Amino acid sequence: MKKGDSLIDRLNLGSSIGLFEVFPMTNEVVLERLKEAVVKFDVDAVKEACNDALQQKIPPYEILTEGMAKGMEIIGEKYETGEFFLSELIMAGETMKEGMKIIEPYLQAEGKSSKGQVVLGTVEGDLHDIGKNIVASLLRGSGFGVADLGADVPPRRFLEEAEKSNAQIVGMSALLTTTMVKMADTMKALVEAGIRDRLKVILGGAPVNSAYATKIGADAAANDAIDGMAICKKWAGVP
Amino acid sequence: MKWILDESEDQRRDFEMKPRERVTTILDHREADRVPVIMCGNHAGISKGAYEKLCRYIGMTDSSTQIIDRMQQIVEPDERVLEKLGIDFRFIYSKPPRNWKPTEYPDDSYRDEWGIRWRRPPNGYWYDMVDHPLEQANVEDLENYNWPDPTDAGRFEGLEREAKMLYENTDYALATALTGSIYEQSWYLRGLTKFTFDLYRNRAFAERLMDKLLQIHIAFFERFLDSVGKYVQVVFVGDDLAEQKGPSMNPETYRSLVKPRHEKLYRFIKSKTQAKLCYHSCGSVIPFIKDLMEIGVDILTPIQVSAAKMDTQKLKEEFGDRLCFLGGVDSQRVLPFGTTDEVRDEVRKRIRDLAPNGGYILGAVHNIQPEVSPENICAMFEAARKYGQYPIKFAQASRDPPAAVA
Repeated sequence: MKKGDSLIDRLNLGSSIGLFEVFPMTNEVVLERLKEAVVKFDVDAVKEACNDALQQKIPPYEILTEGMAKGMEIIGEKYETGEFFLSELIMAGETMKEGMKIIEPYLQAEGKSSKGQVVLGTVEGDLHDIGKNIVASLLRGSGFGVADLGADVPPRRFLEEAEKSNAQIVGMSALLTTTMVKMADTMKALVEAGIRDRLKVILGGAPVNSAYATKIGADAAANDAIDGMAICKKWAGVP
Repeated sequence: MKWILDESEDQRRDFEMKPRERVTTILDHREADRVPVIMCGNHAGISKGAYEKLCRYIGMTDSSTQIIDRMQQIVEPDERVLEKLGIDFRFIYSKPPRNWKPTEYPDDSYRDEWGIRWRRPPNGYWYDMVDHPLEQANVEDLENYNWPDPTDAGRFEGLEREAKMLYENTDYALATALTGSIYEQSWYLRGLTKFTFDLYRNRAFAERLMDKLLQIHIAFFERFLDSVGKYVQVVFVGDDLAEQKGPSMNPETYRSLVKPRHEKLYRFIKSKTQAKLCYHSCGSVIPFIKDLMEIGVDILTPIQVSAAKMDTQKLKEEFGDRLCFLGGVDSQRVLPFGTTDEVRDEVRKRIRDLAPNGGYILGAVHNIQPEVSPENICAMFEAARKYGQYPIKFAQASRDPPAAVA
């Protein structure tokens, strides 16, 4: 049998040789391919799988949550068990970003609500955004809507964006013991504006911990990006 | 916690080594008169904010503040401060190049020799990168990039005379400031996300960029060590490979792409000097330690004890017969936020764990940051002097069950 004849070969080669009219892939197969591609950081395969999934009329939200997010879960597990490292989290974030570019317009057209709206930023005076960027990618890849305000974000910007986007979660990041005090300022701004009680607030970054979160009246502090994603998912009521 | 203190402390003071002899003895994995200490250089030193408070505290109001690392705002302490604290090291720094000046911007930012712009936020302690000049570059662009000139004669002006003078007229251990980063400098130039991507999916670019840096560092060290190599006892190099929880890059990626370049550079350095090689990486570096030892690293610093698995007792047990340690006094919690008693306990713990049989130079984990009080700095060095006398009599106490920890 020459290469390309077996069912397996046809499935793996995907739409590039137009076999789908003969052997249409099940949704599960396409989503499985997407998941695998995310885990392997294979950007081209992710793009291809996203396009194939859309072509097969899989709802965009399902492509995200049943495909990419499943891949992300595996990466999170491997990070937790020490098989993967920060470098793999960065790769996963970048890989998913490419998939999101393809799905996002359809997601918006579909109008299906996301798992929740998150406002993210590194606090004022702090320019460190590597960790925060990874969290943004992971949350988007898990089905959250994310407004990423960047670095050096003053308290009123968090407040404005939380009001504007009607967010459920505000995430603040700080790398420095000197800048983490700005998290308290942001908390104060949220309280004064009267929107604190309808929000969950999560902190991230090396100097923060649960005790600090409690002290300033935030809801949680994440140990790392994966933990942060898990906490947000828990709040959103997703397994 | 129970500490078994040596009662014959006064008798041991009868023989006192000179700092250089103390350091070289320790680095040969032998016990000296006491544990040597460090608070200078650009990665085992002190920040401007902490230093100015320290000077006021010890009543030295006429000390000038000379910044030796602008990005980190690190100062070279006044000779009198170093003497007062009993610091065993003095550092040698290369000079600024003749044919290049930083570009200054009005928002307290500047562009460095590599073309990277750094900005300090208002009230910030240091400068952070705000752009990465090679972010959009391809392999060909690397050939035409305006690289720093490692052989610029200004860098080495008067260095040999200075090193010779320090070697012949003082008893201090001499060290060279940290330089020679390959992995970190690559991502500074490229951006961390982009360079991580390169390491996985654009290897030709990653390898070419790292080769460029290797070439530059070798050209620098060739001249630098021609000037100072025969006078120095420690050469600092480094590349941060880890973070709080563990490696920041996959150790396999390190082994296949970065380690061979580190090895070339370190072998070259060791061909030019008898000095010991001290490698700096923050974070939890455990999976890299054997690799580093294989490629010629003699001393590991800063021993970030607050990072995962950085247990000094275990580090000493596993690597202490071949690897020396420098740093180790917790700077993430104890030095900035602890009491002087906690600082003293921390010093005793590190001495107990790391100092037996030599191989330990005590100092803060990395540079001392501005919120560290002068009281805590003085407590650290007083405790090091008191409890660092060999033989370390309370070493056995480490097998006692630890006291309740909050």
